Amino acid sequence: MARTNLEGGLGLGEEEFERFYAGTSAALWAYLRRLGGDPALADDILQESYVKLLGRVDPASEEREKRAYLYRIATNLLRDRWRQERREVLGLSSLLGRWEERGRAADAPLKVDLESAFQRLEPRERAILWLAYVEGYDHREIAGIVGVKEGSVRVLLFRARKKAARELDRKEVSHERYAPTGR
Amino acid sequence: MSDTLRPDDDELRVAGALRQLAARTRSTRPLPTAGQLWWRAEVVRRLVAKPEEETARKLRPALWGERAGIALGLAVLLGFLSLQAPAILEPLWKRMVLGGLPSVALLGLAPLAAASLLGLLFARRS
Repeated sequence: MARTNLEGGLGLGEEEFERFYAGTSAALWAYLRRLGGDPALADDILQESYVKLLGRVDPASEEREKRAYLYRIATNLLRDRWRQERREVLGLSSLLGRWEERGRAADAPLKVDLESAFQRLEPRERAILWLAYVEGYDHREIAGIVGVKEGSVRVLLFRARKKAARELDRKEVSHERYAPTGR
Repeated sequence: MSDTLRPDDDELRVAGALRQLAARTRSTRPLPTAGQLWWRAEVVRRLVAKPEEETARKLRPALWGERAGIALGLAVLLGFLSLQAPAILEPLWKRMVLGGLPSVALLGLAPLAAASLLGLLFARRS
């Protein structure tokens, strides 16, 4: 995980940040959108994540470290928002239901089996699967981002994968239709 | 089709589906520019940094005064004890001879209690 820079100026200069932002913002938005289920929430968390990152990241850390640190911040912010909303609303189940409704209403073209299959997974399962297969992080990095032990990631990833495969089977999302694509 | 897949193919299938989903997930609204976020972070940094510096600057005389007060108190206490040592030790010696060990032990605990009290005071201040 990236070292932090709590003293002095921002962690990245304006130009350096522009390059970093151009290379990460779309992917981070997609992660937040699919994890949280709400485009407006993804917008908020995305902005907050970069502002926090700028105030904390060590400029000397490597690009991949910075990126993993950004995902860690974003995941924590999303988790905090869930907790806050969970306190305000009735409970997690109703909250998750609301997210699904919000996500579907706001993004009509993606109202397909694949999306609903993914939304039925637990938030942590969604995060781990996305970080592993979309972002290509290894177990150590995922552990740092999600806040679990490295050994647990292997088990959680295996379970999440099996569950996702079952969901895909249930929704009859065929292997041909969603064949693996090059990264 | 999925019935004919080997268990390992689950990974390929799930990874493929997720990448497909990721490729189709794009914000319909424009995201803020990097410059906007950079300046927002800079403003936040200045707003947070300034009050902390000001608070530390304002508290500095009070902290020095507090330390000086403790040092002065200790000096007065030591001076008093050194001046009054004979007057304190003489009845103590008499007590030891006449009153026995328990009362002397109790008197001996008094400095220990005072030292503990001072220690607690310092710990709280720091």
